[in-house]
Amino acid sequence: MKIVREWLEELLDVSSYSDEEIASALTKAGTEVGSYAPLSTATGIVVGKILTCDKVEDSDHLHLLSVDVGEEKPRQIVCGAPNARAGLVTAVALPGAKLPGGKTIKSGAVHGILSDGMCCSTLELGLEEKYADDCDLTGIHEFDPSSVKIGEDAVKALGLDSTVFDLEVLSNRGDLLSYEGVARELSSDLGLPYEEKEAAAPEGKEPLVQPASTTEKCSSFLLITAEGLKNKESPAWLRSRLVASGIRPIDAIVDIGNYAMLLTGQPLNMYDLGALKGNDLTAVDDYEGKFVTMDGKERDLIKGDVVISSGGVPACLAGIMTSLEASVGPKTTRVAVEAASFAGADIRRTSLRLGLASESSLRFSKGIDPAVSRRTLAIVAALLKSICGAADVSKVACYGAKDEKKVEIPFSVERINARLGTSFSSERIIEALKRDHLIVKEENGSLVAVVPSYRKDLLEEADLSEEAIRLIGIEEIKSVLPHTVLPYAPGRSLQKKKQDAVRRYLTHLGLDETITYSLVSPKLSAYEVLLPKKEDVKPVNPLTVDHSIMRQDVLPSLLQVASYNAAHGENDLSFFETSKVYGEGYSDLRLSIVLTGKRPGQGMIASRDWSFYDLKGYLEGILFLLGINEQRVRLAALSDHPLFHPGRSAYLALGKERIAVFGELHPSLVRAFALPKPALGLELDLGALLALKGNAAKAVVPPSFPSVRRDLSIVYETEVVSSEAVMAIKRSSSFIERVEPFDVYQGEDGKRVAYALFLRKKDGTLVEGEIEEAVKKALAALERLGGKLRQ
Amino acid sequence: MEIEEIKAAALEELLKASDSREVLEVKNKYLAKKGPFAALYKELGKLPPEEKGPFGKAINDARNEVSLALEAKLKEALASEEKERLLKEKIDVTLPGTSLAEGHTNPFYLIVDEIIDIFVSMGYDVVEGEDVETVPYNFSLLNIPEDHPSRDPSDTFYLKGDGVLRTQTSAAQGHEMQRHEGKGAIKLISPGKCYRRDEDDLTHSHQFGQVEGLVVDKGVSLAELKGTLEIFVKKMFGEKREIRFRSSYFPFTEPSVEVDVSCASCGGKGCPMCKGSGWIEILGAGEVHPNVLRMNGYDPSIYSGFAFGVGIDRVAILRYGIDDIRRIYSNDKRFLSAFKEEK
Ligand SMILES: [Zn+2]
Repeated sequence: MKIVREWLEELLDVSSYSDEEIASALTKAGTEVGSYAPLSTATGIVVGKILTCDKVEDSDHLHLLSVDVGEEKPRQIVCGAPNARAGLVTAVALPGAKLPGGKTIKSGAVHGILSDGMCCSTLELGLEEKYADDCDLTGIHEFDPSSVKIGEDAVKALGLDSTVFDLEVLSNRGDLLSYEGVARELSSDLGLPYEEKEAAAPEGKEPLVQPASTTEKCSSFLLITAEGLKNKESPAWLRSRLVASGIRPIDAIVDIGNYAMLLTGQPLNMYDLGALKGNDLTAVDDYEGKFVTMDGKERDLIKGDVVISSGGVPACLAGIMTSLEASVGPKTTRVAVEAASFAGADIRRTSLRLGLASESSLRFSKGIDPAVSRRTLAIVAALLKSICGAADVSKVACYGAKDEKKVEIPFSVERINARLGTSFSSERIIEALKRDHLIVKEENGSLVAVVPSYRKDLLEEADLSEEAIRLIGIEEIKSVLPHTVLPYAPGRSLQKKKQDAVRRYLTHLGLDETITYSLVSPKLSAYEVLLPKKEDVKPVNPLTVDHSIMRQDVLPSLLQVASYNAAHGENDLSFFETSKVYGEGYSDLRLSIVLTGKRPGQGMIASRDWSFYDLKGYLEGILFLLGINEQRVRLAALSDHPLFHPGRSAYLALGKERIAVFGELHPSLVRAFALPKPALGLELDLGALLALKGNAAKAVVPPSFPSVRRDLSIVYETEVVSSEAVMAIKRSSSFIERVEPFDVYQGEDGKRVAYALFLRKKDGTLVEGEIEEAVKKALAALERLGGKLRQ
Repeated sequence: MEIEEIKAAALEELLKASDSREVLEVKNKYLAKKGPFAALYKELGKLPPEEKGPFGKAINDARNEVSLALEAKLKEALASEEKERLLKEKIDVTLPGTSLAEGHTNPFYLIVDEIIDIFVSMGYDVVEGEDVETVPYNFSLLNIPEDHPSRDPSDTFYLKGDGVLRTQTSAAQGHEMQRHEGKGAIKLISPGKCYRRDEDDLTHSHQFGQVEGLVVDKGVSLAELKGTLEIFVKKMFGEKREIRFRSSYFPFTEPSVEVDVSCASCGGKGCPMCKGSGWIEILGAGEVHPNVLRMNGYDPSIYSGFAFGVGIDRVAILRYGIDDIRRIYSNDKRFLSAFKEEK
């Protein structure tokens, strides 16, 4: 809501308050003032009259003007505007004048001729194009010579000098979408007296049409009719007030309606009486069919839309826009003026469906106060007479208007203080409520606040506590800390702590942590790897196809991140993310990792390609961190997954369920995302791991006898996986405590693996014979798998 | 006389010795079992008893003198040889170490982790809700009227049935109050991702993060909310920042307030960052609306509460001077590389 100070001052005496004080008072009390500035900040612009106008030789558009600006002698000005002509009264920027863009006017040569100033349009003075007159769009401004004095301040004469406050009205304060509402609110904020201006209702004959309604969506419908009108351009003062308030002037009848609406908040609708088909205006909600609004567009109306019809023909989309046919025009001489009250939710629904909003629909949506309908019509009647010369204005005809019972809220000062955490005196609280234009009375020993009809947001005591504190000032509350102490040790859940530990672990190892969108495209969703998937969760109203499915895997998002970074020249990448994912009826906490290109070097240790074992190492590290020993999970090769390298990928299972798939990505996937090579990925159901209880720590007695190491180097001709060989060695002798494969070589002729065997006896030092015996057994076990001792 | 000659010869040779090896050669030559001193001791045996004493003492003295000089010279030689060897092992200490660089953390997490830390230190529980919510928890149980604009399908992602992608972490309020069955204190924060049907641009993102705060107990007042938010804002934005409370409106709180901090870019004078006002809006809060308590099983005549909601992305943008909210979700390595956990 834009409020121009000059008009506001007509309603409330704020002359002793600066713009800043007004803005700050409104803001603190809940109506944020986004900005405040005059419509035009131009200085040094005066009203001037063109005395002579001659074409400049050798120029197809320039004129040499002699302009009277109220000084002793006229000034010589070169001007290119097509509408420059002798006799025209226009705006002149004198040398030294400053325009809103920061430009300063100087006298100087134009086309070799001295120009001692510049003739201006309102656009050059900072007005938005949509508010400008036709002459201003193509040339210089044209004043009505009778309304201005030569030499006076042109910005002032245009009504562009007064400060405009841009208010962000809260959605529960529809009453502030009017000048009267804002004046009243400001009077509360500043503690000034405020009185509504009376307007005498017209005392004519019965109106030419009668209001009616067949729907409860129209609770009241008042109207007047007026005859003998002359529609024309509105006077300058009215136009400038509308422009300053953000409404484009159209013609006098429409402008009067908008002006009255801005003043009281009651939306009005103007009908050309000559275009109405019957002698009624009836609100109905059962019309369906085509309807052409005054902007010339055809709309499809459905049952439920509120329409005002006359003689059964729709004339207005209620609260939104008149029909093209019934709207007023230059030839209109008779009008009907509607001041009705429609159900906000219904107006809003229709407005949203049609994508058609107006100043009226905005106000109805937020709720209007029917108590002002009659007075608004009185204001309109007076203006129709004074501006359009209306001869006959009817009295007000009225459908359904009845005095609504005012809301009364019993309250206690103690309870309000308790809610606020304050100890204000009852006088102070009651004073604040009265300043807010509530009536406070005492009934049976308790206090009751009577709410004015325009404050539809005040319903119960809690609302009064807000009114009291917003007017007393929140800064008056002494801060304290909550007294509430939970009867247990609160904080992050164990799950969350473990999740954070995993995140820190990966960060410490050098991986970057990302956050990506949960809503993904069908294309991305098709690359999900941890199967089987549940049915997707999808918004029924996605904004774009790129964000139309809730992801069930995080990995595709990370592939996209890697792809983006690779496209920007970064090939050596390591990212991870933990995130909830959603499918129909379930959610999982996932961890995903992507590694591409090279693992970063460490100082002089050269970087090298990421390998499967790096990724596996991270997974093992996480299991170790969470205290899950390897017997509790099962790891095996993943040979049949379409998105992974068939020979370089694996899965991790918990019981029968695969909780992770990882490894080198299939070349088709690498190509699809244009990833640097090699590219590896992991998708883990982290939630499943976090839900496991970690192995409890238990003290052990350090062994008393030393351990002995023996190495075995084995050549395999058959395919033997490491875990199988290690298990075979371990089982071969009770002295073998631990086995570590090292030095693995895979060549054309087979595979060579060296194993370190760590042997120990619990009850004594191993003797050479025992060691030899154990190593022989281990060798025998490996030979059964097809291995031979390397010579 | 012979004794003195041997001693002089030994000392002279020792003087000539230039390294530990030559010192040891001198030692072997003179102090060995078949060396000149050993020969002198043999002669000692042949002497008459009365001459043995003085002669023996003379041999001992001379041998000790030589021996001490040898040890001293040897120690000196070894030390200088070791020094020489160590100098040859010199490396360039300015070459890089073999450290493993830590990874970077998206600023979104830096902020949310810090917010959680602040409130955990003030005795709050941490409760994570779900991104997939239902209309009652996201709207109705928060006293958001049927025709409230935030419910419009143009603003909210709806799922089939009564599902909805939560538009605010306030959805946690209904769940937690109902879990408590209308009894006992609640003091929690609930961080999470939220979704609104906004086109992504400089300042809007269809996905963003929020942290909801909720305290419900007997006698929880606006003064307690004010004290809490003052501590939070100072911890998050710095002790020097000023805080302003403005009256506002949210359907689920009454009274409602909005909290601004003084603009860091201009110190409150007004600049483009704060749109000239000198203040930057950072969170909304208020006393829990009695209807919300009532609908979720708490008796508002006995219990009261406060709630607040902080935008994670917004705080990150202000704190780190991020120019475009989309950068957070781009995860550009060059952007991420500026962010590390503050220790
Ligand atoms: Zn600033």
